[in-house]
Amino acid sequence: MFSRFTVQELLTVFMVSAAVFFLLFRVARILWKSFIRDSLAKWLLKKGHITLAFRIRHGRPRRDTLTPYGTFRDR
Amino acid sequence: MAEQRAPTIRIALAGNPNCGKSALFNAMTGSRERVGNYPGVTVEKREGSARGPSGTRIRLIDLPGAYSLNPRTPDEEITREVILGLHKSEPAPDLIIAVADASNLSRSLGFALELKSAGRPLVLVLNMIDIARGRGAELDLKILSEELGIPVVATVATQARGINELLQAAEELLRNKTPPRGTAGPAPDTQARFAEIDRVLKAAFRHAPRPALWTERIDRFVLHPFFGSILLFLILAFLFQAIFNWANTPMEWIRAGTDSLGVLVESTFSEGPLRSLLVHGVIAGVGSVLVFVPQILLLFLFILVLEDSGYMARAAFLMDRLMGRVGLHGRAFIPLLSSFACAVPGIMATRTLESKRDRLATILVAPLITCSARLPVYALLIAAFIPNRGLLSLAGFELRLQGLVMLGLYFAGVIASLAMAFLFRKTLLKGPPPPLLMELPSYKWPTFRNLALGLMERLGTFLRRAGTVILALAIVLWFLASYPKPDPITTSQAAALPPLASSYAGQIGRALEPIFRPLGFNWQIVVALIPGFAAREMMIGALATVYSIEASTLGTGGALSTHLARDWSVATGLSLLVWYVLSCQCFSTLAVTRRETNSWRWPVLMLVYMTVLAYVGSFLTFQFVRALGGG
Repeated sequence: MFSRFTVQELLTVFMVSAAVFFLLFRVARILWKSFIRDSLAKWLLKKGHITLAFRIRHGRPRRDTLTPYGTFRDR
Repeated sequence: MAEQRAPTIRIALAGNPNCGKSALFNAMTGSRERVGNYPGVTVEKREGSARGPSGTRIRLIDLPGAYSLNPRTPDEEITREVILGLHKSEPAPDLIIAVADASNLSRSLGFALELKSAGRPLVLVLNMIDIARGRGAELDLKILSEELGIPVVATVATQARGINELLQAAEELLRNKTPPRGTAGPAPDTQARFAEIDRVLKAAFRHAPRPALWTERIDRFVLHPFFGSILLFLILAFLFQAIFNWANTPMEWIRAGTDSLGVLVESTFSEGPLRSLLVHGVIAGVGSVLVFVPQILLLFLFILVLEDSGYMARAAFLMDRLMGRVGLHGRAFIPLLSSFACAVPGIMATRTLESKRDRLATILVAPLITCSARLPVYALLIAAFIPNRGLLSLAGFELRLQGLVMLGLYFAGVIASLAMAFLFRKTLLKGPPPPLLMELPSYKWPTFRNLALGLMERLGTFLRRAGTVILALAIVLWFLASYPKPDPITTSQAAALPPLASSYAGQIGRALEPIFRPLGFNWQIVVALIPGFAAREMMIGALATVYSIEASTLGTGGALSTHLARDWSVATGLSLLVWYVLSCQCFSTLAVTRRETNSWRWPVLMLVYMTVLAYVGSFLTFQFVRALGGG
């Protein structure tokens, strides 16, 4: 199927597609950080999923986060 | 059993604004966080890692500057929460380093005493000890340490002096688990704290530092309402003129480099879509933006020198009367100043403002301040439409019309932001005019390291943008401007329309053109405005791609500014300049406004009011210049 296209054409299609996906990803990331993350965490909190909401809002606890039992890594 | 690794200890750096916390953070961690000689540079906590002399792993937290643990601003709130262990995602630090400006100890010690009352292990750092000693200060660190009941270390953070001693003191304190002496009972009230500071300083100082006489002498002139304003104008005029005069040669080198690369690719690749994509999309699009790197670096170099020397805080003081009249808080100067680089950190820097109304007013007008992404667009349009006529020659330095127009555009942004702030404060965000309480830092020579790091950081940011967003936009735009190819069967129909005009980009541009026709914009400009939303400077890349494809099909050539001067009227060029001064063409700015205000209302308001303002401004400019015969 690809033999119908030249290498130049295939590379061009690849570069254009990569650029489009990259831009879509950038837009999605900005939207996620600016409001989707917070809204989702609030909704999860309302539904009672406290741990999941915390993880979405603040990320996974750091390995060296101090807990009452020592650091996360110590455990 | 595997050997258990020693846990990381958490150390927080806290102190008054502009006492050198971030410089100390950089010296301890080897980081390159932004520092500046004015209060309010750090508005978020930052983390870095360091190693103690005996190998202890340290996680260092740089906190925003605060005057007390009773926060008045959102950034001070972060400091309080972390220090008291109330922060949601940050455990309480194992040790606090209270950073104090050694040349102004009577002020800095108040916060240090408050930190002491938090009851955690505490080390006091007397930073900028070289400046204090230069002013004749003689201080006994041992007595100070005994009087305060905490270890005291002297440092010069910008030269990384005293860092080992500080880390040693921190390790020793944690090894012995010694809380500060004299923290039992309730925290002393303000009066008791001042009395305690007087007592401690009397005991520790053999000679107190003299006031900064040079700073006072210079300030008599620099802060003079009349002469100070003239000096400010002259400095800015010099700055913008120098951007045009000094950047020309390196810009020519980059232009020649990208042109040669284009020729090389053209001769290496056979005719085909990839060659067209590389030459007209990537090299023409990204190269036309990269050409402006020298101008951007020069602008940042001047801003960094003015910041580091302490002049920027004076400029804030001079502008305060004007800002107070339009209802902006004096501290809003710092966010607005940051917006000259980019509106995103500018909007984040509004966290230093106490009242929500002040914050909102500043956030709404910050994008009107000319950011560095607008600079290439201004430079291109000025080069195309403004004659490079000399106006005034002074001591071998010539003030030319192009530099003056650039300065005018920057002023236009400032005036528009002040006018809109006035309007917002009189309508949506009514409130009493806030007083200015701002500390003026003493003058300092900018350090080479700080300037170099600052420039490298800006250059890195710009090149990252050029290599990612701008590159991707250039590729997509090339595709939109090159396809669909005219059908050879209907060539006779297509002959009426050039291939570019019938491309996807041409179709989009021509569909939107009627909306922008009253502003004098042709469809090529309309096409270029769309990617400008993702990165303002991409407008140049977009125009370069569109005109490069057009030139290749029509067989014309020449620099982009020559194309613009030939194809556009002066009225169109000036109308586009006004559009760029006033429009909110930045997706990231809207997103960060949403995040900082926690509401869609304000970014939508920002987008609507700035678009209306830009449309009306461009329309009036176009019609006025055309009536004068510039159409």
